[in-house]
Amino acid sequence: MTAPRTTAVATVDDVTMRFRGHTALDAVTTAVEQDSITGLLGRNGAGKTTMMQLLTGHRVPTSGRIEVFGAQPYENDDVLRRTCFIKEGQRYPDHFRVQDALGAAAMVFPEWDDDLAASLLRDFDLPVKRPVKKLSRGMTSAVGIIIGLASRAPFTLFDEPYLGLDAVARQLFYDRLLADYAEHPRTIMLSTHLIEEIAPLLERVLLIDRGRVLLDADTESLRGSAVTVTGPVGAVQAFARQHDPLHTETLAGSSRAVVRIGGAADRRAAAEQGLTVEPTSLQQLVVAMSLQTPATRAPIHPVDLEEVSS
Amino acid sequence: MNRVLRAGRMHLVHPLVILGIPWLVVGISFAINVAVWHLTPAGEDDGGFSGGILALYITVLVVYVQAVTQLLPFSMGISLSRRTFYLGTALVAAAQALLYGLSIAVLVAIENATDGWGAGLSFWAPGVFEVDDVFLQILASGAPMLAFMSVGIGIGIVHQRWGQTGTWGLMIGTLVFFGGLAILISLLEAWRTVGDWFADQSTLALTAGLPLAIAAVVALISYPGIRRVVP
Repeated sequence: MTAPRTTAVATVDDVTMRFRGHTALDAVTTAVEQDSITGLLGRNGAGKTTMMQLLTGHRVPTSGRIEVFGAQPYENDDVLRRTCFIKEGQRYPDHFRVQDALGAAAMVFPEWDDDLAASLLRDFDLPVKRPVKKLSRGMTSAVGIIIGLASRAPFTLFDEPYLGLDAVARQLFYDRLLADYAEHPRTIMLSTHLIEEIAPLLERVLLIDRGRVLLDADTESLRGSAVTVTGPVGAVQAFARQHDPLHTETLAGSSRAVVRIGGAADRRAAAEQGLTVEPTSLQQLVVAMSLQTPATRAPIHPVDLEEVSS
Repeated sequence: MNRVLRAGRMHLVHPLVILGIPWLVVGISFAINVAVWHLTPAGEDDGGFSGGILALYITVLVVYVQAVTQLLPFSMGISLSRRTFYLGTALVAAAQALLYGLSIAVLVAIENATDGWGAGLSFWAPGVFEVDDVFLQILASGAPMLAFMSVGIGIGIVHQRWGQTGTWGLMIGTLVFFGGLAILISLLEAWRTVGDWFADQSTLALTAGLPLAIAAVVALISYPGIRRVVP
């Protein structure tokens, strides 16, 4: 077990965000621990972007209270100067070249590191004199990543920052993020769908689904909190009934189930019952928990896919 | 305050856009007018003037619409508050209006010294906008500029906050408002009163006071709008 942390950079207290006819976040309460990397996970439309918009003052919650560095972030320059929010599809002015965008960011972030920005530019092989508008999708994402890392903002949020980035560039991003985080610890929140890739980086996981928190834990304690068992249908069902089954697949008399367990003793018990026991990866756990929702946790609501701009 | 200055500086990245384009447009307008005035007897009537300088004011308005629609989403992307962006933009607008007023005042002086560019052309300060004093000329040319900028910023904010629908709504609403006002004045048979009121105002009140009032009112109305923009 890691030592209990007491300091939170951001707190979300009973926050609800409602758009016309659509609740994006529903009574969410959580805290973002200082000097940690948190993965904000969830399906499309789960409320991840809304959560980040609230934490960075881009939106104001319908009800509840958001505090970042002890104050509400909305229109609060004192909070915002210590916050950097890199989002998918950030718009850059048409006439801004890569160097103009980085220059502007360098002006406003007090902790900005020019050397880091320069070395990242080399890593991602970006043409500094080309207008951002003329860059490919992946290169535009790289501009955002450079701003996010070089800002060294005490609270840095990346909302699916890898759009269009190839696998090599994504690995570069993870490596550079981890290296710089080790030297300059800060609070980082990342939303992503590439859970498998990012899992080694994460210290905490916040999983939301349909605007509700499903999971809010550190990855250390999540490891071993669930197992994947395989075996005859009857044996799997018997084991699952004793614990907390999340998701079961059955094929030709054989079942495979993701089951939440209490600890190593349960794992041994499964093996003794003749089941094949494998560890459950973070991605499998997230998928199993998200899939479980409509059937067992709550009555099915039609998903409102209409994007409401208000 | 420091961040406000930095937000202002962001407008001056590639100053050709904000400074160059309006002067290019008005330069072409000016060249056409000088040519026409030389080729036709337009300048022979006393008080012959051209409205060509309006091109400068309208181009500046468009530049400020774009300053908001282009720069606001990026400013918020690098953690500037809406208020900081707004104040930085207002600062740049005020400085630019002053600079443009000064430039126009110099051009008016040259115009008067050369008998209207040798053709009796009154281009840079047409009609009521020409005042006798150089310093007052800065005000008479610069204040309307500030009003156009303020309206441009306001239109940009409406677009960012309410999108295309908002922009159309603003245009239709403005048309209905002024159309309704015209009908009301007609019904009251008050056109003469309105005309008299304008005639009674001093040149300075019309060229500087009224534009500055418009600039201030539009700025006050658009501020609550920018506070609710979501990038």
